[in-house]
Amino acid sequence: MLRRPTSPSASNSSSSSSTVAAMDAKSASRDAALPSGFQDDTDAATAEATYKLPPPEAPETIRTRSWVIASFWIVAIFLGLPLWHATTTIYRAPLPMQEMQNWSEGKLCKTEFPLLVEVEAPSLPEAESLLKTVQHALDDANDFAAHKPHHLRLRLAAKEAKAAPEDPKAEKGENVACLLRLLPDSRNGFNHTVHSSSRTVDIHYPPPSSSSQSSISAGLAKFVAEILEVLFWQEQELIEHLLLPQTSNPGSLNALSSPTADEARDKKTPPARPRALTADINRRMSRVVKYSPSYHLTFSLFTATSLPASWDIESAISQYLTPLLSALSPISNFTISTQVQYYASISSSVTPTFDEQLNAWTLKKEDLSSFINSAEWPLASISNDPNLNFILYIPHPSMTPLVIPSASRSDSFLLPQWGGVTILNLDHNPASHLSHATLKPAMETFATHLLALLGAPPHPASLPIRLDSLTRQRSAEVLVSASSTLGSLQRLVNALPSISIPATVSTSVRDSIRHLSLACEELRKGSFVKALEMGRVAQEEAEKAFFERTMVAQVYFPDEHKLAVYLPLLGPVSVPLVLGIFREVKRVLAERKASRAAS
Amino acid sequence: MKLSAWGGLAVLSTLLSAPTCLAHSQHTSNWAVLVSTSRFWFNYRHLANVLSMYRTVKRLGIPDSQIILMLSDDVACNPRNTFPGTVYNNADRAIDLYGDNIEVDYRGYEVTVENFIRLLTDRVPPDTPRSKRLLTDDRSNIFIYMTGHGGNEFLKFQDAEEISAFDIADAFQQMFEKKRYNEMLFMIDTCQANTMYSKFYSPNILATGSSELDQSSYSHHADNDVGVAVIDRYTYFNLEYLETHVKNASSKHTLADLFNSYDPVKIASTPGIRTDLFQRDLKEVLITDFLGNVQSVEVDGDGMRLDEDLLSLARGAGYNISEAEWKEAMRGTREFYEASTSDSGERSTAESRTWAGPARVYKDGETDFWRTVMSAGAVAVCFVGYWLMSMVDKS
Repeated sequence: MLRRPTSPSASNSSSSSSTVAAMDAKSASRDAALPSGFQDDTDAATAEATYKLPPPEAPETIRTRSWVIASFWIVAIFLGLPLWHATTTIYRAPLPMQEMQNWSEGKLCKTEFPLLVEVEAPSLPEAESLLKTVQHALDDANDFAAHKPHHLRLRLAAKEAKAAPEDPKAEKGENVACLLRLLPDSRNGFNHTVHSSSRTVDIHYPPPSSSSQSSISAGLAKFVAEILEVLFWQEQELIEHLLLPQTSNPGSLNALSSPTADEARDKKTPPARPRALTADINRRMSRVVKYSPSYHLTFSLFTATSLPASWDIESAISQYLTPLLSALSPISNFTISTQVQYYASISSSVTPTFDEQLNAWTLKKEDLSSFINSAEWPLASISNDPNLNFILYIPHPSMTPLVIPSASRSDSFLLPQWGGVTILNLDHNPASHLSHATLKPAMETFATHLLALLGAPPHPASLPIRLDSLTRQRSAEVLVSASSTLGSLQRLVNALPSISIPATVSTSVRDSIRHLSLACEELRKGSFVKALEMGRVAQEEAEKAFFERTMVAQVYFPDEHKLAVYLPLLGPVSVPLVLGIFREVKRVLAERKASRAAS
Repeated sequence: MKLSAWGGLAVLSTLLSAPTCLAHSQHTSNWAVLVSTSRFWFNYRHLANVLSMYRTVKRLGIPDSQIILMLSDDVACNPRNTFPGTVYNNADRAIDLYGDNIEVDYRGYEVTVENFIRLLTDRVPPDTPRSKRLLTDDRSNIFIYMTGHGGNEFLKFQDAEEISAFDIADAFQQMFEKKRYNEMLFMIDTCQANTMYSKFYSPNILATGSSELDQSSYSHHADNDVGVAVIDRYTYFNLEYLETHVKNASSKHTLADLFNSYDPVKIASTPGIRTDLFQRDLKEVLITDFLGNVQSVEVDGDGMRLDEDLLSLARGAGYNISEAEWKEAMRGTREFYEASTSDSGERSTAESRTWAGPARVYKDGETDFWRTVMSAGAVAVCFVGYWLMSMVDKS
């Protein structure tokens, strides 16, 4: 029975072993209850008196021990802690947070669309004064509606345009938005004609009779101003609508920001603004696909039988669609694929009804919404670009003609953000091949659908003006989208402290901001295609930053989990360290006390 | 209302029915994310749950390209399956859910917490195929269905890791920030399911779950030949309603109808519904707004050219109208516009109803304080323990 394992003499000295035996006899009854190693004070005192104390420690031993403790602490503090910190901190690259926020709030770029309108008035004597009047009227209208992004600027076309045809080309850098030609016309009153294939608008006015020279020119000025308003009105509404959410900041969780946004919205809305149109614009915006630098177009022929077996789609596309696509190419690129699917049935929930009056099978509007048989029609795209589907459906001969009574022009309908469908009714013995003459009406409908899906305003009849307007609209869209993505990223970084931010995100953000300001500059200069290009880069970079794949938030760790991970590791390590330094301090204090007592 | 706790739903519905001009759904596409998270043969029912939902959304018209199906195990090909290559959700074995037209996007060990979060936030590697991505935008309605084994604020994935309610809430907030959804329906069938949606804080999310805190969700019945339970109760009664009432995509049944059909006695747990983040009245939300694919349609003639100023189009097309006539016509439209602006005041207040819900719920000061105290206490106890031991050692 070994009581004091610390005393080496206990087992081999006979005298002490006898004392132990005597002691045992004395306290046997208590020892039975107590675990070995526990003794009461009197026993301890007697035992201490009998044991030999260890020799006092040598000063070097004490010094060595202090050094050992100190070195452990030094390693722990200067190596362990930094190592622990370096391996557990989440790297967060610095981001220009304030700038990102400013962009998302639309503070840094006052979007402007200066439009240059040239006026050609070969037979009007005081054209300049007329222009001044019109400009005044337009400026007044602009002042009235303080925040209109468009600024129309009139300029008299160079008089010697015919003499030196090089001149206007040299000035093309300035991007004439439209050319007004003032022509006297005695037959009718005031009227205007939009050339559908150029930016020219002819304005006819009654030739001035010598008596009422001034009144005619006043009337003409007013008319010109109104025409300009009408030409760009739809686009203005759209762009204003696009720019609004930028300031109202819908993503903000801060409830305080919403009333101020409302104020801004109210301020921005001119009092005479046709409010009923907001819903209309909303609806039109919901149709438009998101901007992308390239789209994939899929043309599908779905026929309910095995006929027609083929179609002249290639020549039809090159003849009817390619001109439009090349006109759109400064805005987006297009890739095209086509397919033919036989025995394609419309989905089972669609049941056409036979209309005796029309002598035709009719589709109701509810039917149209589930017309696409997505379970069976192979319409999934493998392209990474947004896909637009154009479907030519040929119904079964027993169900021909299949018509949509609510459609006015052709039996076609448009699915917002998705594509268009045209029903082609053939006679009862269809040919096995669809010639491209047969395809012409369908292709024209598809072209209309495509323009509508891309967001070209339907209003002025002139295609170049519509495309210009689409360019402006898209550049506004990419600007808004890029800056709102920056804002989202900024809020995200603030909200999720556990997310890591690699350096690539930081460079992308800076790139995006740089291109945003470039785009803004180009807009102010009036070169919208360049602005769109810059905006596109800005948007791409912003998206790249936001969707950085390493930025997935760490799976949520509650504090209890962290404690549970660290305690078994750090507890056993830190207790000897802490106790060691504690003992050392106690010893030093005791020494000091002793030395003070001695002196 | 079968339950007193659902009184809140009624109150909310009446509160939210005021801005009805917003009630019409604005979405143009429907997406579904269907996730089963458990592994092993005896969890057959979770895969059957998710495949039943897959069948339903497909039946109601969502194309495979817009369904992300995550199947955590392959029970159909499990050697213990008496009917190889099939999965049934009922003992009558009427419908083979694993039939010929099924597209699994994430399978087996691909179903992980990380992949799920990456899918939601679209932070995927650049070579990810289109079928494995959730390519939604601000006009997409998303239906998210999850099933598996869970507990208070967590759901187990693959019997190896777990996703917490906070993770899902944060992922949804990121989706909201990037405008990746218009509205979302979150449905979860697991034990203590209602805790999983308690941490959401992003707007326009409607959530429903099978059971309350401290309640289990039970299976409905077992198939003796398959040898395991084949479906969970909550999913079973959801499906029963959908199969008997929502026959096709043009169904007019609303989510309020579906939620009212829940019977806690039959389900054997208390299903929950969270509507405070959602802005529309449930009585106006069609089931097919989430579970179906109803595309809005614009027919030539009423949609395409309705918004045009017909007069100027006519003028553009070359019809000549005298100035007087033109002005007369313009005056008419002005008056119309001015008349319509008179009610713009209330309209703008209705339109501007932005979401102002609670901020992050779990950053609660009090709980944090107690958490700190407890942590400190635990550390202190450990130290005292070590100290005592070393004292004994020394003496």
